[in-house]
Amino acid sequence: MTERYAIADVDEFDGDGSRVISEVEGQEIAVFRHEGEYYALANFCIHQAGPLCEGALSGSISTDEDGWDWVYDDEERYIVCPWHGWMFDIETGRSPKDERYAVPTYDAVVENGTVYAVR
Amino acid sequence: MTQNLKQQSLTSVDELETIVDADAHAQASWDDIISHLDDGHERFERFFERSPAPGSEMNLYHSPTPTYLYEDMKERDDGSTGLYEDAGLEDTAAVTARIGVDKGVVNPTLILNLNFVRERDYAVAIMQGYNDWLVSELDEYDNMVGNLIVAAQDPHRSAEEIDRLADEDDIAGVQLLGTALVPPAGHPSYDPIYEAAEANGLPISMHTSGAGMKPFPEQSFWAETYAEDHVTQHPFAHIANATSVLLNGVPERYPDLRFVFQEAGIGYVPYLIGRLDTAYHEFPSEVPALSAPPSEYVSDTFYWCTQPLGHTAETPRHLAWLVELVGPENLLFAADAPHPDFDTPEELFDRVRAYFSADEVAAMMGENAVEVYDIE
Repeated sequence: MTERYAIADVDEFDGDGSRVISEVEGQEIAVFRHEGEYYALANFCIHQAGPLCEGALSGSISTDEDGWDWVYDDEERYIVCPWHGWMFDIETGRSPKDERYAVPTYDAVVENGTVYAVR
Repeated sequence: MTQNLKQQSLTSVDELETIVDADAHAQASWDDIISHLDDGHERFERFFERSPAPGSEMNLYHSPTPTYLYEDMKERDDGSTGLYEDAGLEDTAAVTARIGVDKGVVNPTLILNLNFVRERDYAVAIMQGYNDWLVSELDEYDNMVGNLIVAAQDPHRSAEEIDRLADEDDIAGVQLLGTALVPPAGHPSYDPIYEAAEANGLPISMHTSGAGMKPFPEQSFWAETYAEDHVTQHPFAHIANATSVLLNGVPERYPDLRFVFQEAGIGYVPYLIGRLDTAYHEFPSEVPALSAPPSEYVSDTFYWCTQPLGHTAETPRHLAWLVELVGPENLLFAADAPHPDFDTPEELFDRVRAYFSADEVAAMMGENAVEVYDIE
């Protein structure tokens, strides 16, 4: 059965890169606004149950083709857990570092000015 | 893991088709090295000849206290050989056969401390002289193959040395010595060595030394005895080098290159892997070179030599647990023949045979090494 949780009004968001965290039925769900879209995930780090979505958003660092020079991609699409630094893609919930790991996500739906988390 | 009574377990080392000592040793004397120096290194012949003790002058085997005080290592009644004399390969080949090992992969003894040499040309001369001695010596013994050594002081000439000798039948790998390797093994200056090793299909073996490590890791500087040095040097140098190799992305740049870590036992390995994966997740912006946790690269391309196992008869099942944590597919039995802290094959086999399948036991006792070192 699909559950739908009202998280916030769209005017509570302060543009891209902002977020709202709400507690719904004992779960904390965060909604991020990123490039005009909304993404919802559990405020829960699967590492040690830290408040993942209270951390900073970050871009990502990779290496270039020769394997040595570091390249920073400044698209701030990753939420970094404030406890131990584990990072997850807010669009997918997946760890960009390890395919085994992901945090729960919800579909974010906007209806009549309200953002809902649906799963 | 439980003792598996349903599957076919091996009951005797005699049932094993191949046992390989992935870390045997031979001692080249200075005369051996001099006699194999090529023309380009003539000046070092005089250097050796005029020196009363070329090894000690180069700090090659400084140790807080004399090393190897065991009876077996003293000069013998027949006047021959202590550890640092003319042990050659004869003793190693004989000991290898005597303890029931089919093949040994030879590494240096005195030259384990090559990284102490400061003059680049001198290190290259020793590399060349030792390697040519090794190739000629290996020709004499069917049960021995060997790792050629490289001089970390000169990665480019080391790469040429790999290209020069890689096709020799008895050369099974490349020895990049782990002790006093400054900077550590993940530094880009070593890329020519890795590139040449990978191109020639040779694994990198890293052997550490318990004797006299001054520059790195620093705790050795305060060791008052050989015992202190020996306990700490081997695992700490491997931990530092493996960490450097992994977090700097060497396995990403050279995905077919394999690493073998020798002479430190395996107790430190699960601890190291756990810490590496933790660092990978906790400092994601500092490890951009890897696209998967370090443990995955370790699982794919790292191999750990088992010797010294310690006093495993006390709690055999603990060694079996340890083997499970590291993974039988990543273990290479090592005897360390003919050194006095050697393990016989039974030291590993007897502890693990009931806990693992026949295939897994055969793999760690020899088949893994046959594959990694391409031993015929």
